[in-house]
Amino acid sequence: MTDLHHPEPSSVTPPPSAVGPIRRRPPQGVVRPILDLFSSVRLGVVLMVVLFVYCTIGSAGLLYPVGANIFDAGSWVHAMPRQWRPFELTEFEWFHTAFFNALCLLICVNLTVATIRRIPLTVLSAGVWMIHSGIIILAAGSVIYFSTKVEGDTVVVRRQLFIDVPGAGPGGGAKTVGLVVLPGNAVDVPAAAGTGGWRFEIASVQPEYELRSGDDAGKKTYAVQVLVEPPIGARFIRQVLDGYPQYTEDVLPGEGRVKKIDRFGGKSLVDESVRIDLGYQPQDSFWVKDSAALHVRTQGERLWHQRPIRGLPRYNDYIDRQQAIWPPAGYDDYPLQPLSIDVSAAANSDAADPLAGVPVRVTGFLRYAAVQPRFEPAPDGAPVTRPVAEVSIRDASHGAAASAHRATLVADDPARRAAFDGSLLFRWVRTADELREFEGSTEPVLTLDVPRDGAEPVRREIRIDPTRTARLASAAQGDQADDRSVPFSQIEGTDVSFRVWDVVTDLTVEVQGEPVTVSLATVDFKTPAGVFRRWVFDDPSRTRDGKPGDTGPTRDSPAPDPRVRATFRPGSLAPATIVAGPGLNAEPGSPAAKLWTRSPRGVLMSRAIRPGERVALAPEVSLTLDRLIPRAAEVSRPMVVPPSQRDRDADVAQTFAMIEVELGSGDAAQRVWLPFHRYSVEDATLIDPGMSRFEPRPVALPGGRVVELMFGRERKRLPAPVVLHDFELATEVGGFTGSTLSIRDWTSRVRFWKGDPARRGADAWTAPEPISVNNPLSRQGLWFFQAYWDAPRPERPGVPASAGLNFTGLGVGNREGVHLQLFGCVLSVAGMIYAFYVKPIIRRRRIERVRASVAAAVAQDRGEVIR
Amino acid sequence: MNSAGKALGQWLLGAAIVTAVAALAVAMLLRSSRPGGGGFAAEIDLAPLDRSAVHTDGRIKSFDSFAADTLSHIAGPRRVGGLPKDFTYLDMLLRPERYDDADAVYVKNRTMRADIAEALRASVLAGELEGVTKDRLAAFEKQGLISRRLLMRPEVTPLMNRWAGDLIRTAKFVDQIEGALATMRPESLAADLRIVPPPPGSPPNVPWISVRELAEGAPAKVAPAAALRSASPIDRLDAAVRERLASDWARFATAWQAENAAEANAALASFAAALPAVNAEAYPNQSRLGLESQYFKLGSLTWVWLCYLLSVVFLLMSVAFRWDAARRIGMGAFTASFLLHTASLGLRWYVSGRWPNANMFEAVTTSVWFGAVLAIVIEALARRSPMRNLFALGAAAASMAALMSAHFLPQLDSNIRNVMPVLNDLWLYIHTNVIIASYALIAMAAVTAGLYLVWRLLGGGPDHARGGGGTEMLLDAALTDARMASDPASARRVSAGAVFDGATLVMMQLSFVMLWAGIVMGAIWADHSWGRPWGWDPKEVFALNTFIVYIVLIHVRLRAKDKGLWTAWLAVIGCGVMLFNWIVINFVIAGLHSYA
Repeated sequence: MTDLHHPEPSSVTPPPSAVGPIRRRPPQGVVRPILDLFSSVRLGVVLMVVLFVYCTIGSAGLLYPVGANIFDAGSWVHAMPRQWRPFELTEFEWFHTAFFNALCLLICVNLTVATIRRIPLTVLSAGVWMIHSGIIILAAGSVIYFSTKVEGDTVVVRRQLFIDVPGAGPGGGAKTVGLVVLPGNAVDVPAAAGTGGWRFEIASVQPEYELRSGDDAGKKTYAVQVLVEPPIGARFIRQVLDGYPQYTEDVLPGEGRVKKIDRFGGKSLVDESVRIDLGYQPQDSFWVKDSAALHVRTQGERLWHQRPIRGLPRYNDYIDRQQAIWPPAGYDDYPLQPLSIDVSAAANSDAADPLAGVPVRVTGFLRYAAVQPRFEPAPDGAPVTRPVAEVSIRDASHGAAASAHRATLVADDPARRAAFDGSLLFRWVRTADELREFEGSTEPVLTLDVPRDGAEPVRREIRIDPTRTARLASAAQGDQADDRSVPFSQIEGTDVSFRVWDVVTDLTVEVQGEPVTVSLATVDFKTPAGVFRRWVFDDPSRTRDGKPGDTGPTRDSPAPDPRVRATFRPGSLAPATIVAGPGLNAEPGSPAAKLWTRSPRGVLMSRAIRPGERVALAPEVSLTLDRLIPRAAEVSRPMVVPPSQRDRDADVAQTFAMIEVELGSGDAAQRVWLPFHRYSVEDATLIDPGMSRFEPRPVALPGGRVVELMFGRERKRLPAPVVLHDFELATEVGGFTGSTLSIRDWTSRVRFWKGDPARRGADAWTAPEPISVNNPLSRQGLWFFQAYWDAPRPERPGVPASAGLNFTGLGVGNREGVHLQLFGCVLSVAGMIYAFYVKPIIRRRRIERVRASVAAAVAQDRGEVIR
Repeated sequence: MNSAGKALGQWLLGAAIVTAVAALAVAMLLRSSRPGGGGFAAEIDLAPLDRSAVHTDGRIKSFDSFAADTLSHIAGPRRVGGLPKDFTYLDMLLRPERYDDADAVYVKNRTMRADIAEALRASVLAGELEGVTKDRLAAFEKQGLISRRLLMRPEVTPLMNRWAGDLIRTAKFVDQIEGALATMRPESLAADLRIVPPPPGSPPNVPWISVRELAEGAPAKVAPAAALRSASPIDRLDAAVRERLASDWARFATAWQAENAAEANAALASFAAALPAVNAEAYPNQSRLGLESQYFKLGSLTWVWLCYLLSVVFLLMSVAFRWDAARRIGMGAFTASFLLHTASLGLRWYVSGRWPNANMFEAVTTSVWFGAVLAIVIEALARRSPMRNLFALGAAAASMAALMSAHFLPQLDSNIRNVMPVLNDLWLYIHTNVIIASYALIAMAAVTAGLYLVWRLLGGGPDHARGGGGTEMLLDAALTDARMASDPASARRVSAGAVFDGATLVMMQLSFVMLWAGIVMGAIWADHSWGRPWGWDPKEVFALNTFIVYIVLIHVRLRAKDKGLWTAWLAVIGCGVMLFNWIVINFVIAGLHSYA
């Protein structure tokens, strides 16, 4: 079929590459075939296909079938080759390998040679020249950009407190200490000799505190409440308002504002000699993205010395011996893969490095792990050993889906000898006497004393069967029953009746931050004055009263009838108790352990139990004594978290990565595991615990010197220290609801140090400048952009609650070559438009002109012929 | 067959298609219409409340839009008992006991559904679960809705515990189920229903007042995590106004619980009428709320895919049979579809207060709208070229597919929400629109490329558009009249293959420029948003990959002998890569662009 729209098919080629034959006389010799090769369009196509495949594999990975039924999703496996052991590359690294760089170079050479040799620079082919030139300029810009790229982030905390502590300075004068304003931070300052010390603790921070006084009423500011514990006298809370020092005032816990208390005579402050001011908290560093470094310092020193770790894996675990870790469930032998990365100081010129001259190697890496202490049979001569039982409980009523609940019980440790809310107990009897003593005090005893008017008080001792408490009876009556259905028993001769609601043995609770093991009986009393609940502890000082139905002794309500006295002595048995030890083995053939339980009728029973044996506790509940270790030593190792239990964000951020570092060599070598720190700061108060842990690891070197090690990211200096002047949260209508969708923008107003040591206070800093989302700030070759914010959060283990807005997270990076890249892009876009839409018009006009001239010539010829 | 018989056959075929599409439309409308739901549900009139404003997560939206959004967190894309979502919201709030054993919680994961059903099956067969039959379990496996009571069964609890521990595969589904159970609690539903505007003079960052606060007063603030939240303005509400609103709401609740529809309607009408008067300045335009309500009642107009379907069928017939009447009907249907599509987009724009391109639903529907606009422009330029109608066909097919996805896939959530803060930028409108318009063109080019492949499959020769391809064919069109006058036979001699190939090239060239320009614009935005123009994020890489496919296409066309076939295959592959980028990268592979 012929296309009559295009009368000269041999002369036209499609845009954009108006490729013609090689038009210059080619060089001779070896250069010619090379030039011919790089003039080839086919080579260009092949290189682009390779680039496509490389990009696809690096970014999306591979999907391949492992089963015959390809329509079943389970038959497919998704793999990310760049994360395989031989590569261990991040996305950024995958796209900067030698292969990728060579590929890009070949494409550029191909583009250049083919353009010069094949495409004449004419009006018609100007578009192709622009496109190809633009791509090459973009590539040149990218070489500059990526070869100089530095990218990271930093945390800038909003304020620190400057505290003038009286009597703590030299000669009894005042001493100024700093305290970074982050929830939970505290500082202890020794006072003059013999008078104890001061403690200052951030009690709370209110980032949007509304002023209620004077002309400033209604304005909002950043408010910090500091709990001050003086060496002598009552503690108080000082409230300091940012920008309003005139409103600083003290509050006495439980009494209110100081100036309203008579004994302070209208003064706002408890102790005017304690001066607390708010000031900036400068940040002078940022941490490089996807980097790794070992930070080292001599114990007692403040500054870290940094050793970059090059080539550290990110995605696979590397250990060289099984004893290095606790493997995840299902692995008896965890795959061994040795690692050896030299991080000795040879490559570093830091003379003050405390490990200078000490061989240092990274010998292990774990992608996601947590240090966990476990018990192992102790070697002979181990200094501290303990009897330990490992048990598991299965509830078959949950069917096949039921999983075993495991517990490790340490007989000598009151905090760890019970499990499952005190339902299971482990006792170790060393002698026959101990066994007899144990058997004589199996049941807990509640003693009640009720005074009577004009008569001897009534005393009643109640031996409690822990399996027959009112709570269990109530639960046994089904969902419809409530606690009122369980009757009270009257104490004869009195108007007091009671019931034992619950008994708990060896419950570990936290008291003022310390774990304390307690046993208690929960007893409900009914007297003419009313009904109340009492938690009777084995330690009488902890006994509390509450209202009926209260679930715990969280508050002490006065009992309606205080006459009743109660004491409690815990029994040696829990609902299920494992007893083991030499005291049990007085006779040959004695069992390794015995299990004490009660029958459904409440009869106490004991039976032998051997390791590995499963024993029924109830119709569908069984107990297995997995392991009994008479002499166990506690060993801490990183536990590899199974992939299915890893939090995706934490995994990506490497929050739970660990490295094993070997210090020294030969027999003197010692290895330690170090957890990853997102920010390697000098002390724990400098970083919010929600952002990064702070767990430097002390290591004693031969010779007694102790150094601290920390695994983190590489830290770089900012061109100038930066401070956070204020932080603004702009919200959508209705204000912040807790959802990001209710936020319109975050704005950090920052100031940079002018660099003049002579300037003090606010004058030392540049004027505040905003950084918000999509609105970065350029400063001395670096761009600062809004990366994350301090969101409010509830309390969670190890991390105090926070109202937020105490710091800002800024991204930091350079951008050399960006303008060259942009120019190349714009040129190529312009070239495409020219090649696709301008060139055809030019060519069409030329064709029409030729046609017109041909037609005119023909007409002229015809005219001449006619003439 | 003579020409009359052929024409009759064509008309009969056309009529059959129209009838089939109409039947499909009626079936869909019947499926989505408000059911009777028994006496009370049918008698209750929620129209006054549907047009009332509710404050939620930084937006003020109509009640039924809000209810649909909330119910999507509980029942997913399903309706509970076939009842409308606004009714279900209020019923869950006011008669929660009815939902203890109602199948209302959506379990998205099919494997989890099967495991739950299997765990419950033994108890069902043993007759231990009153009211639960095998059919109900089968319906659960199919639809995904299950009751709170069944989820709390001891047979299910260990499964949930196990799934909660698998953070990679199943924990998120457990979170969704637990979120649904928490959301459907009457206290949550009452606290979330912030329907009373704050009193006059309140700053804009003050939340609206919930029906729970109307009854119980301001909730205690849980410090410090809630420190940044503004306190409820309930205490500043005029006492008389508050009393009237509380009284109307209580009357409505009592009547609802008693299934007294007349009394409930009266109380609700009174309650809704009083709301704008609380703070007329803060209260949004009532007509906007009404339009928002209508927009969602009309199913976000995603059923427009049916009109596009009609258009596709007739335009295909016109291509296949060279039947001019089919072409006219097809173009008419396309125009009508486009107008409806434009109305849908305009309505959403007006309701949301921003150009709709900030989430997946909006990007998909707006992308193909851009495609339709470009098709109309190109059709105008190509009206005399042999390629005419192919652009409309490509746009209609792409729009039909996109709107069908928006209609049927629950992942494309049509609820209107605020955009993420990072998207509050001018470049959202520049970069995103250029990119999604190029995506639409890529899809349209794949349609004509597909036609080329079919043509080749049916025996067509290795023809392709000559010269500069599509653009020159468009330019040629301007000369067609003159050419036709001088040599009509030759002008008609362009093969179908060359025409399909030319149309593919026209769209491919345009998408090539727009895609590259869009990538560059994205890099400029990323530079000032994230501090680097290019970070090898999967979305960036696959946009580049799509572009690479087109680079290969252009250069293969220089050397390949069978240019048309190579072009068609690479256009289809390019579309596949684009769809991979849009679907798999967005939903499966996490990256910085996951909200896009």
